[in-house]
Amino acid sequence: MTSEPHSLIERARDDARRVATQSGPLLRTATDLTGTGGPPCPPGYDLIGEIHRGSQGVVLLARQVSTDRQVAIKLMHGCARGQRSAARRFAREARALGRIEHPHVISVHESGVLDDVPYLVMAYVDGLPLDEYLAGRPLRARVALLATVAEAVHAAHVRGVIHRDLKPGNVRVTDDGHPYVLDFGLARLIRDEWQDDSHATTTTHTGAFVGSLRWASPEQAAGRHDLVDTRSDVYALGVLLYQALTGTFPYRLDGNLRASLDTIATGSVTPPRTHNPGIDDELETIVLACLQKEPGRRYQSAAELSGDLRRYLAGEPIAAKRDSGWYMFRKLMARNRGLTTGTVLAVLAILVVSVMLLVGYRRAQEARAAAEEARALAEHARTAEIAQRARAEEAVAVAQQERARLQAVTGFLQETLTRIDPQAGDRALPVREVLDAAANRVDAEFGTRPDIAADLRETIARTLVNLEEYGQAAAHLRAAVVDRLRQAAATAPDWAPAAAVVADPGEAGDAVLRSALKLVPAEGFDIEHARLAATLVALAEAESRTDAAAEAGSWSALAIEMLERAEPPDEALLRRARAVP
Amino acid sequence: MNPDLQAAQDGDADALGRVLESQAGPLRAALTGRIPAALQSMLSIDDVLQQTFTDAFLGIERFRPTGPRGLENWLRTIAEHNLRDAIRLLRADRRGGGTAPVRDLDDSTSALFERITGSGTTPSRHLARSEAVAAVRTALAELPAMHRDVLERIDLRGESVAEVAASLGRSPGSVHMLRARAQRWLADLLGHPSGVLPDFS
Repeated sequence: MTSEPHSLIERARDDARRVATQSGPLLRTATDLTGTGGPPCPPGYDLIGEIHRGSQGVVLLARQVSTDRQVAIKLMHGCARGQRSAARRFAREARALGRIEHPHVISVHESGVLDDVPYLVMAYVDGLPLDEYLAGRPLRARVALLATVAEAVHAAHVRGVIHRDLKPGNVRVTDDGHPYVLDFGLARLIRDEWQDDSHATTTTHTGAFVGSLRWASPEQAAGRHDLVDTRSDVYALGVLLYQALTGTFPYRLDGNLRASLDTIATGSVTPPRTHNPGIDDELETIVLACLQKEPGRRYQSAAELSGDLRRYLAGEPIAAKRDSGWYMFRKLMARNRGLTTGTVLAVLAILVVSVMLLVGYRRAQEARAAAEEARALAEHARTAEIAQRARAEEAVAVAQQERARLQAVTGFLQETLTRIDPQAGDRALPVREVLDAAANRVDAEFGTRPDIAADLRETIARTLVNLEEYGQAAAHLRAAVVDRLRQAAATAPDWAPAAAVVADPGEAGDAVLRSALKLVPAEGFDIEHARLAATLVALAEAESRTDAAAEAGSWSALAIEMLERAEPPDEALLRRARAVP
Repeated sequence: MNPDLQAAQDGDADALGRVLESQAGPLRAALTGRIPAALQSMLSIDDVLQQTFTDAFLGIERFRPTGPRGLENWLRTIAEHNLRDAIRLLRADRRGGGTAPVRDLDDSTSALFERITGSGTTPSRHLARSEAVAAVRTALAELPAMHRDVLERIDLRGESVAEVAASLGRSPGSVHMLRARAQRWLADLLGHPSGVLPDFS
């Protein structure tokens, strides 16, 4: 039944009178009692309504006159007013945000400044915040949606934009289950406007935290904005995943702001299975890999995270297990230096085989992905069908080679370890003997497979570093460098001059090795550069702990030279290289 | 400018009544068909219009005309806002996520603080539980009695929206609009620099 307008208006007038007389003075002075305030709307847009009002500004729903489509307009009241430089910087950054084009990312269509208030225009999505959408849905559906979100985040990362404020409210999901990530880069815009870069801290002059505390990474909580990179978003994705799986958060944050920031920076994460026993070991490993305190120990990209989530859903082994296995072994070795050789051998065997299995598995996966990509391309490019099919077949052949290589490595390790019987004598065999035997067999059996030899030598060297045998480790790593050069030359002719210098193994002293490295192709950065750089960093690290520490810097300098050409740079490895004295 | 509108902005409530009466038809037309069928037993266009007119009486002094259809756009903005609030909260009710069972008043007060400051507002602030409870109580005292009553009964004491609506003689949708407005004011008070929170700086 419809009321007369007059009676509606009279009742409204009575209500308004009561509200005006009953509200406290603070409310009357602090806020517009209508809650709307008649916000300005940029030219070219018709205001439809207000979606949200927060401490940083207002989000409006509007219609773009020229296209008749609905858009969301963010008026950034939280930014500094009346500063031309700030407005220019805002506009420049906002244009960068407009470069992100992805089906799951809401990008900025337009930006400007209206009455000293910067604004952004973006597509409007009528969806629920992530947490509201996921509530009550099956666990696998939640994992799948997070994988899609991680892929969207990665798409922005490869265009050089870090989100910095991922939280459920910034991921909207439509009724048909399509997620959209919004507000990319806004946290930085806001931070830049709120404070001087030279005093980059986590809190503003009013003590408020810029960003959303519960999803902030340890480096953000510590105010180290210089350390914030794509892996900070990986951390936030980990909190979203944790929240999606458990309905709660990794930490209890119930102290004051300072205590909460300390908890994020140094506190222990409650294992997700404590809250939800339905989470299995692999899924917990994925969550915890995201939530590592050190960025270098997290997934190194959102794509790695989404890859592991997809593998988990497909019932395939996840990559995150590799890190935890090695980490557990290092911890075990560090805590128990007096372990019997038998125990060490057993752990070593498990470790090395699993590392190799995973290395091989990942390479096979990469090859398979390449095959799938090639097949997809072939479907779309009918005119190049034959060529694409050839590429696909070639990639499949690579995968088969990797499988064969993996079998060779596994066989080698099993044979090496079973030849040495710790029960055969009445003394415990030193681990060194085991490793020496393995190294000798690498020389004898993998002379024609430098790729396998290099991987095995690095594994042996890593074990020696844990036994504090740095000199021995460095020797194996030097040999691995030579293997890397030979391996590269086998597939890329421009590496041949470098490999030729170390062709005679008897002459590979430091001076010869340095001469060879000077001939490494100095343009670009490919997989061979990446492998060589990683080996050089490991060599520099090992050598820095020996009597010949002065040489270490030269290896790390060579690695840094290569790594700085990478796009995007491997920040974790670069930091390790730069840390070498 | 329409003389009634000018008078309304100068504080003449009767003039505003006349202005709103002239806008009632277009507003009703704009809202027609916007309430989902499943919610029509709990929310009517009249509920939205009444709340919108209340907001107009409270905010007319701040209204700045931006063109010949400025007033209509302003009222539509407020009406859209109210409609969205009502639909969002009614849907949350239907999903069972409207209110949580209350074990302890401090718990529910602390939870309300968390919801209001942690879910939608950035920057967020985190306080000790006792500080949060005290801050919410201080802010509640600033709200008009009608809004404070709705918020306390639903969000702190766990009464159902239907119960509260029946006792106030309003529809559930209308109660939700009051509740949404009360939550927004509370968020403003809790987030305001000169407001009720201690400063961390």
